[in-house]
Amino acid sequence: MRMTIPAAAALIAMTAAAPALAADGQVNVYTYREPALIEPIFAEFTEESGIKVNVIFAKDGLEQKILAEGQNSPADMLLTTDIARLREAADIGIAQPVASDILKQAIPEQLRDPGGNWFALTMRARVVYASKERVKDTAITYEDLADPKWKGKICIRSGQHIYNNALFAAYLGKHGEAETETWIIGIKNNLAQKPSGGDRDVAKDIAAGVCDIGLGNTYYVGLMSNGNDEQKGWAGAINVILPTFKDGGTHVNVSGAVIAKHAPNKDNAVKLLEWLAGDKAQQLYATANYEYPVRAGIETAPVVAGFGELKPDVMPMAEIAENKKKAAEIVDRVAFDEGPGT
Amino acid sequence: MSVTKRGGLSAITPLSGLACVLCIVPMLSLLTVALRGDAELWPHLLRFVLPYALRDTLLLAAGVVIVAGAIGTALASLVSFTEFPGRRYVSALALLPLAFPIYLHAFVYVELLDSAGPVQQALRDVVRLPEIRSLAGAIAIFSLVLYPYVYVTLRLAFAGQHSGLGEVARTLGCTPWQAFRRVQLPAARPAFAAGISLALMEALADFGASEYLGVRTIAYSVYSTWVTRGSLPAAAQIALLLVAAVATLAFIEHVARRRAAFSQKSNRVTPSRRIALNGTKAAAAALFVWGILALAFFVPAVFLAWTAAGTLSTVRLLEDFLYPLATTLALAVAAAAFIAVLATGAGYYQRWHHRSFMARLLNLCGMGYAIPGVVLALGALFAYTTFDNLLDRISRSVTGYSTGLVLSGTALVLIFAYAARFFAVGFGPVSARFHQINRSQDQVALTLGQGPPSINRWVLLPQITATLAAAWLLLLVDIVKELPITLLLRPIGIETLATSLYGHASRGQFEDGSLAALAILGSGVAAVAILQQLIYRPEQPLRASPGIRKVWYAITRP
Ligand SMILES: [Fe+2]
Repeated sequence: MRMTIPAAAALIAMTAAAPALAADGQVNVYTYREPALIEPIFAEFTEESGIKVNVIFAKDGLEQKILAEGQNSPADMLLTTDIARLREAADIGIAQPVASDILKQAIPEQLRDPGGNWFALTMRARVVYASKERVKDTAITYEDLADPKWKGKICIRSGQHIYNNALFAAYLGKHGEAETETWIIGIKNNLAQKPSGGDRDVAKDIAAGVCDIGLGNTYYVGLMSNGNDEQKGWAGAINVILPTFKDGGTHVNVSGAVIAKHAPNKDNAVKLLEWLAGDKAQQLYATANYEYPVRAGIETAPVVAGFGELKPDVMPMAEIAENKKKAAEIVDRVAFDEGPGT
Repeated sequence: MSVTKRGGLSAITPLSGLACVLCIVPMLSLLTVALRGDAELWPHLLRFVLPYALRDTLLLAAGVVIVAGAIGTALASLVSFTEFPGRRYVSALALLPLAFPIYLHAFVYVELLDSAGPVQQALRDVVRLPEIRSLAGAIAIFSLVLYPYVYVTLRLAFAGQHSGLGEVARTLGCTPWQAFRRVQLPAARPAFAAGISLALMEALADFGASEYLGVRTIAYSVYSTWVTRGSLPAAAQIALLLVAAVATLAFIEHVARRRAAFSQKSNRVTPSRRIALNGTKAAAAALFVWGILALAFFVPAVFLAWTAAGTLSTVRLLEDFLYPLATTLALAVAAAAFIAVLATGAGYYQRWHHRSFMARLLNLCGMGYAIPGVVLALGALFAYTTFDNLLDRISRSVTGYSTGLVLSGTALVLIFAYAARFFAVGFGPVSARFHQINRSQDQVALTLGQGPPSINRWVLLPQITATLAAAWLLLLVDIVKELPITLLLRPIGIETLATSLYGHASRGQFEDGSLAALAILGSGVAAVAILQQLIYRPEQPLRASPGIRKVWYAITRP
């Protein structure tokens, strides 16, 4: 009699799961992109193609999950932000190359893997949020952020967050390890508070008068100005300055996708990927998510266009990804996340 | 009938074996990851990462011991020994903060109190409050959620104390305050230790809330070593060190409690007479107690309800609420039942084979409660996918039929991982209850010619049903709140209230998830309320049988 209970439990468990492996008209996407951002885009795809998109969202560990699931993995596609993550997916062998003329035409060469393992779908720039009230500067370089004139005036999220990590890695590629360390110490000494929160919190803190400038991604400004009243207030309190490296352009990172090595619905996954690089999805990425489309000829959202013309830095994505670990170690070494005065 | 009985007995050993396997497998799989090396990272970790992590962990732990300890002690003492306005209600309401996941409390207080929140904006020109995203903020939030563990163990200890204890002290010339401070409070020290150790375990295992509040504990360094420093082996190594540290703590606590156990025994329950506080003192006591309850429960709960009400018109009721609600309930009900059954099997096994190796191993299984969920999830992920793929390969080569991901592709993986994490929550009360049932009962039944199966069924089972119900409810609350394991291990198609809330919160749109948050809280409140009915009614505090009291005491110490 006692065994009936676990049996019942198992039964309920099995029915609660909806095992969706290879199935006609379906595609399974593992993603780090926030559900509400991508759902409208997927909904549009389903409408057009009749292919249902099943989504698993998590914050970490999806590469490990696909790797561990091996040849039985239900994952067809990994949709993620950050160039290093895309490359790592290829490196650890969970991606498979895709040869698609549609993708080759839609996505510029430097924004996709020569071997076809990963494809960037959008770009985002790491820029300066500056208080409308208190900051008069209209141009700034990344190098300037270490200038003591900003002492006690900068807000930033954790130096170990991938967005900052990629920027620091790009700096390292330009200036070398020693100079990068000095620069990061300089920024740390300029901080108004211990690094915390996310990019929106940077805008929020500037609006609340905690600091004057901070680093954030471009699309958050669009999301905030289209958010609730509270968030509109934060967006309204800042100007966006597109910073550049002293001799270079603005640091951009990408979001993109890989097709999983053992994708059970590979054809549908490729269809989805091609669709994501197509006119309609790229336009949605631009207008609903405020990202920079990778496809030529798509207009950015008016808020984003208002930031001025973006001149992306030319450092190859691969080089940024390679410096990632070193940049993370410097951040540890200088105890960046401990905040100012430590 | 006899077939059923035999079945009952033969299920016991496999059940406790399964419990051991489920608990130990994720650890072993972490160990194999840890053994993969990455020793070259350790000088860096030792110099630049772990010192800060250790400092933050120790400060957070010390803060929780002091603040949660003080709040829990003050509340339990006031409610047990004094009379003040609203005391009866406090007695019933003081457990409610247990219904809050810590991360939810943290979300709410950051919304309310950070630089752009309503409170700071209103006070903008008057005073600037200290930053909520800080160590102090984390200590405050953790303490408000975790003090009930101290409160409940102390209340039961006070009620279990011989009522003569205070009276004797008073006849010897002590004032009531002196009697309390010098006799009754020290006598409750083991109970305090039990309550605070559970609060600490939960604080150490947390990583979502502390990370959100900018406190980087050891649990966080496990995560960041994996994610940003890119080393899974080194992360597993730190995690195992953390487990070892917690195991040591738990062992010390276990020994200390065994020593103290003798002073705890009391069969007669006659609550001490309460002292009616006079005007100012009564007002101060009421203000303090109700203030704590407001901060710990009512303010965040009302804030959530108010936020949720504001989203009612725009929320997608089906996708964002009803579907996750149904999934969560099905999953939690099934998993809690499964773990309760495992715990029962393990309890029976320990009673009949208490000297065996497995009986000892079962005590170790409680360690899962102290491991950060994300770490346990990784261990479980590697273990169960390996099993699935092996089974699949064998099946393909033998039968030509693919079994796919039998465990890791279904909700079974979640149920197994929850079992590893929460086994102690079910097993603690059950095993404590079995300890309480005198073994002479078994002896008498055996002499009367009954075999172990029928003793299990007819003698023991009726005596543990209330305990099982309580354990099941506690498990339910924990599973409904659980986030990191569910997030990483859920198969496609599973969205719970917690993961849905997390999806919204990580996008900065906390409001859209507030209905889910409210449902998590609501199920917690319901479970705590039923639990209280099992333990005592507000009108007749602590009139429940000593058995259930002891069990409640045990519930709070895995
Ligand atoms: Fe982002």
